[in-house]
Amino acid sequence: MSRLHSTVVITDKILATCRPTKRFDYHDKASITSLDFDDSGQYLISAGIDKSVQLYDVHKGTHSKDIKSQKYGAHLARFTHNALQYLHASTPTEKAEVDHAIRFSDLSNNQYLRYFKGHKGQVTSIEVNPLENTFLSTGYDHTVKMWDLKSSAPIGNLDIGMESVLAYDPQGLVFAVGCSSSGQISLYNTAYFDKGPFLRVNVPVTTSWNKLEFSNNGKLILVSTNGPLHFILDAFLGQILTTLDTNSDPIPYGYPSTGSCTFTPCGKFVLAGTSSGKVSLFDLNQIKSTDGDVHVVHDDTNPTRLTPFKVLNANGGIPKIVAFDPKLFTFATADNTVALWQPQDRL
Amino acid sequence: MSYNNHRGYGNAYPPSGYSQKPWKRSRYPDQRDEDSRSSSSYSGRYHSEYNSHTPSEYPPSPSSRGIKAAIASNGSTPLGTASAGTPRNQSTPDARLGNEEPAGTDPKTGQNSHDSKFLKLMHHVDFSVPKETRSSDPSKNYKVMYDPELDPTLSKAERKSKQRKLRFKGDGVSSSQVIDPRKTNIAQYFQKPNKRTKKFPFKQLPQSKFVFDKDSLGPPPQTELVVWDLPATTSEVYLENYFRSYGDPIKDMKFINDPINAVPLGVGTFKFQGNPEKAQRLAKKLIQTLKAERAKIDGVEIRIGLNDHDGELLQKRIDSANEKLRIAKNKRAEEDKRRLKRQLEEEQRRHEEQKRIDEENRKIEALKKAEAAATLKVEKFQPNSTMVSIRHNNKVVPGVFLPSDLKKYIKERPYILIHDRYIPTKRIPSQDLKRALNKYDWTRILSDKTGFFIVFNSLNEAKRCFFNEDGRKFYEYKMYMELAVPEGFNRSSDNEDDEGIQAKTRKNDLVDEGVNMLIKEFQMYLSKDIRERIIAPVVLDLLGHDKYPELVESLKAKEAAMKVTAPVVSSNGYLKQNALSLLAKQRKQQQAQTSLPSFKKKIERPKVKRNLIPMQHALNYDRESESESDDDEEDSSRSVTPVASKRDRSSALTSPDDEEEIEAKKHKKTKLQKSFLYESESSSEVEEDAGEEVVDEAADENEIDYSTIEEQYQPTETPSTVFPESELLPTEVFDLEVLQDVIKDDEDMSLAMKVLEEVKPEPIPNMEYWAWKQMDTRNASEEIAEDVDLIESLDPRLECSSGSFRSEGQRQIADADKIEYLPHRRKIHKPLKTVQHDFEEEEEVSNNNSTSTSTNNVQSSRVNRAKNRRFAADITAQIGTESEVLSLNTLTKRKKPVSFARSAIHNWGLYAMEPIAAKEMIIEYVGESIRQQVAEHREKSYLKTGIGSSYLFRVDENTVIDATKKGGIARFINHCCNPSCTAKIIKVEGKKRIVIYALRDIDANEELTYDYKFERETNDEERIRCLCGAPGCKGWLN
Repeated sequence: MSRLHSTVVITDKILATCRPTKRFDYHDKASITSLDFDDSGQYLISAGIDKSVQLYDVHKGTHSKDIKSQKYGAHLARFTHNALQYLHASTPTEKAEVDHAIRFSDLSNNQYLRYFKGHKGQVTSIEVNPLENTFLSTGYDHTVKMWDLKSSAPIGNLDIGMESVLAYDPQGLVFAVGCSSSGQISLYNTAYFDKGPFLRVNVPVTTSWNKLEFSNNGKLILVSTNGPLHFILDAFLGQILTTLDTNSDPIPYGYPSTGSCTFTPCGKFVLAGTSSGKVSLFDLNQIKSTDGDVHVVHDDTNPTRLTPFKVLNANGGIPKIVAFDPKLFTFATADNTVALWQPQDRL
Repeated sequence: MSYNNHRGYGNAYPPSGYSQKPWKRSRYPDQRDEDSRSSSSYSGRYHSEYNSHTPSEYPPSPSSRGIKAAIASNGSTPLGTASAGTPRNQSTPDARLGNEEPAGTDPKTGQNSHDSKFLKLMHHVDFSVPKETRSSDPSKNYKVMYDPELDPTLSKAERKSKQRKLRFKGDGVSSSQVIDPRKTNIAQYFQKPNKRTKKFPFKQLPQSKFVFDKDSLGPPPQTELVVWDLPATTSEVYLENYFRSYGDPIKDMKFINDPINAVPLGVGTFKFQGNPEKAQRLAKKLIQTLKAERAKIDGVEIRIGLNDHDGELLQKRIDSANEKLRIAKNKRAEEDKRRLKRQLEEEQRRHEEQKRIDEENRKIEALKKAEAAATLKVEKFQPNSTMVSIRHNNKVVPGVFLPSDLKKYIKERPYILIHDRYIPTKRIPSQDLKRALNKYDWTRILSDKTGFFIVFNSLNEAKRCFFNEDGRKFYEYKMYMELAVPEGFNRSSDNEDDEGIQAKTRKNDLVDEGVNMLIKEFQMYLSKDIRERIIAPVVLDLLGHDKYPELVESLKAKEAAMKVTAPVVSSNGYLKQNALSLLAKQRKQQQAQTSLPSFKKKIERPKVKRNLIPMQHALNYDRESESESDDDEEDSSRSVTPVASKRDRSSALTSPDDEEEIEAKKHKKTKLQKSFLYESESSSEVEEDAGEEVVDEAADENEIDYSTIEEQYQPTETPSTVFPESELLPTEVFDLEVLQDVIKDDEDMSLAMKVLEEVKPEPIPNMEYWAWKQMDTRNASEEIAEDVDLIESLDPRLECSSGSFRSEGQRQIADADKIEYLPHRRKIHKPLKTVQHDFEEEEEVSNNNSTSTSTNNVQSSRVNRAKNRRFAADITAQIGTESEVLSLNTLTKRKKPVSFARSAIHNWGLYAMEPIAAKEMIIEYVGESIRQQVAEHREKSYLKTGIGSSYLFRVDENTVIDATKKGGIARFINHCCNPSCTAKIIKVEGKKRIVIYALRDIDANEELTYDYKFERETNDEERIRCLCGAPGCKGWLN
């Protein structure tokens, strides 16, 4: 950690100085479909349709490994809590000579540790429990499955009937399943999810969703859509607190991805990639949430529409995928290249 | 990318025309089992759908697309209506195909042009396809309550055998438990989030520092340091070492020069080694330390800064340095202009002067011609006289030089003497000379240390030889002859050989000639008498020093001042000789026939200084002196009376005839128009006498010089230019011979006696011997002068036509012609300053104490060698065996500092950088060791390719060392017939190596030479001229 310097408070001003300082072009210019940081924040992993997984060292800002997955394809590469062990979904060709298993691999020796078989369709989302060694997945078979890293069979199943996006709350107590087709978000208790959601909320559907995310402070849920509008929901009541308007065209996706919006670790800001090749920054400091029925949020408490306080130019490509490092003041965007962003003008 | 690349739904949707709107979704009634693999129902449809990509065997798949397609074919969905009826709000990417952005995904189409390279994969999303949904089946919801795989207590086999226990639909879970688990302990949920979670709400984050590599965006971290305002003396190496002393290696040290005139701007840049981040860190550190230390370089504080990305800082510094330079340049230019103006003025002045001088020269030329005509008449000479070489205008001097031991061989016959200094008797065998002169009927050729004596029986033949051959080239020498007719030569014997008539006519001629001469002589004496007896006393009276004491004093002072600054005039020998021969000629008629002059005239006399100057000069002088001394004399009196000055005076007061004659005589002898005016008899006595006594008094030497003046400068108005010329000539000693010349007759004698009356004669015991000694020393000094003299003459063919070689184009000088220039390059044997010309002054200083330093150096080098030897011995003793490395080093260790530079001998030469003692090893002759046959082959090929210089060195019969292509600088050592070094072949480790040793002590910057010892070449065509110019040069290399 000698390379790390004194910490920087996440503020709008500093966020506004962020610029892409690194651009990794290791996917053969193919579209990238996932980005994920590991728990320590040191590594970034990306998967692309070129059937490769790339590992980057965020401390140094260097590319560190190129993992080919020609046989099974690579999608949704996600780190588990064990260092350098990651999951990725298979991407069979239309000939489907490969099944839809989720594969658990170790980067240090390039060995597959386990195949998680059970999905009958392309896996479109994998969410690792932030604390435990379990994860959720969903796919074109319209089911959500829960897995334990030690068991190749799912340890839980939910039939949704629709394509969905998943999210864990910061403590892993609750997960949310959002269906853009119906506009419904269901919150499940991780322990009793088979009984059904304890909360269902409906969000007016505009465009399809690419991501659900709980803010790290647990107060908000971000509904990231392909379109210009993203929604901030109260994490407890599910009511829409505000709408983030990027004022741009919908992002044209060709592949399911890990989402174009993200909270900052503090949960006070949202970064949203837009189709105009920019990253819009939203400040949520003024947004009041119920904090679990502690406060009352009226319809007029929060502005219905929030505009970005700053739009950053990504300088090349559309930031289709945005991810913030959990431990470093760095975030990554990806289109067909991966860009690492850092605040500038201060060292 | 084409439409076909998308998973087509072609028939159902037109490819374009949809506006961008939220997707409309439709629910399909089909409640399919997730595990259903029933493919038969829609397999047919697949064909039409996927045929653009895949062959028909699309595997049975639970893909949502497949399902959806099957549904569509069933026609039981509202999809058809949607497509046909309501305006679709979806957009198809197909609509906007075509404009791709290479940087990434096209923001409009969402297409990444590069994706087409890759196989279409299942997770590709076609947004033209509405996402189909189905109602969820809660019955399928389950949670695994027990998984044997997760049971750590089970063995592997047991895990397989045991069944999982599933809980479906939350079976047995009360509805009350379906609550938000966060709310159960909401305070803790917010206040104390689990630290291990990946999603920890950090409010502040550390920043990582990225290293710079090819993936980085933007410019690399700036690492270039700019140093400016450097003193001009700082060199790159020095600065580099200086900064290196701060601990970290640096690179790319560069000084920036003005691009136009390469003037150093005192601005430099450098970087630290290592990756950019490190370099930048070090650079920043250095800047801080330098600032803190206020470090100085050459007494100037270092000004340093990190360059910025656009090199702005550097540019700024360069600009400011340029500005400074420009200002300095302007200043200089102004100065130049001023100086130029001054120069121009001076030039003009000089030009006028030159014009005057030219005019004068023309006059002199005319006079000379007349004189030449006169000489022809005087050409006849008599026994016991010598006609000197054409170089001295064939002047005839009385007396012959004949060593007594040769007398018996020559036997009073006329002979031609070629002095040893022209053709060295030691080098040239008399055979060669005989061959060269075989056209002439000489009797014998003798050689002696003084030179060659070519003895003739007939004077005519001797003359013929003399006039034809005198001054002709002979090898690299020139035959300068002296035709001598001994005293006892019997003209009749000569006549016997000739026809009687011829003899008669000659006799008549001689008589006429004699009469003419006599008449002339008488006339001369008459005018002289008039001048001396009548005019001179009056004038002298008028000009007596006692009459103008102040003026005399001031002039003296002035003269003294002028002397100090005036340059020394060369070619004294000439002047002396001219003077000599002139006087000799004048005295011819009244010759005392003794070869030894009577020395009794040599008496010290009190000095009387009475110089006359030409009228014009007098005027000038007066004006000048007037301004100084403020004399109240009348102008008129001054203008007519020559001022008694220390300067020589021409015969302004002599009668015209007289003057002309004297002048004519004078000019006859001046080749370089630098003749001294020898006073005509009328006026000379007093002042000549005045000069005489200087013989022994060095202090009086200056005063002698007043009696001599270069005529060409006489009429110039500005005395300053004349003065230096009239300035003393160090060798112009007033000795016996001069004295003899000056006192020409009894009258002179009596006058001299009168002047020297009061001086006591010095007691000289052996007068004869003393006189002889005087003459001898004089001759010796004359010879030295002759050497300088030699250089003056050059074949007109080789002389420069335009006045300066520099004004001419470059041209090759043939080797043969180079020989001609040899005497002019004699200085090559003085140490050259080629190598260190920048420090001439220092060198001079060091030269002064060079003796001490050189011995020191020599000693130290010896000591070093001894040390090295001891060291090597030590090592061998320790290691036991002699190591190869050491033995190789022995030669290089002893190597002397030498350097090559252009040579006067041939192209390049090797020069000693410091004094080298005799017998020291200097350098090894390094090159490829090749066989004889190879050497011969190479020699030919080198010649063919135009490598004229030979760098082949024979070691023994079979081995030759070729340094032409690969070799050390020892190959630049030139040949010299009188070498300073020698090449020795020594054996080192059984191998023959060539090593150059010093033969004698060698000065610093002296060219190193050794004798090539080439075999004698029989074919004259192939002989190589030697251009070494050494005193003992053989003329050929082989």
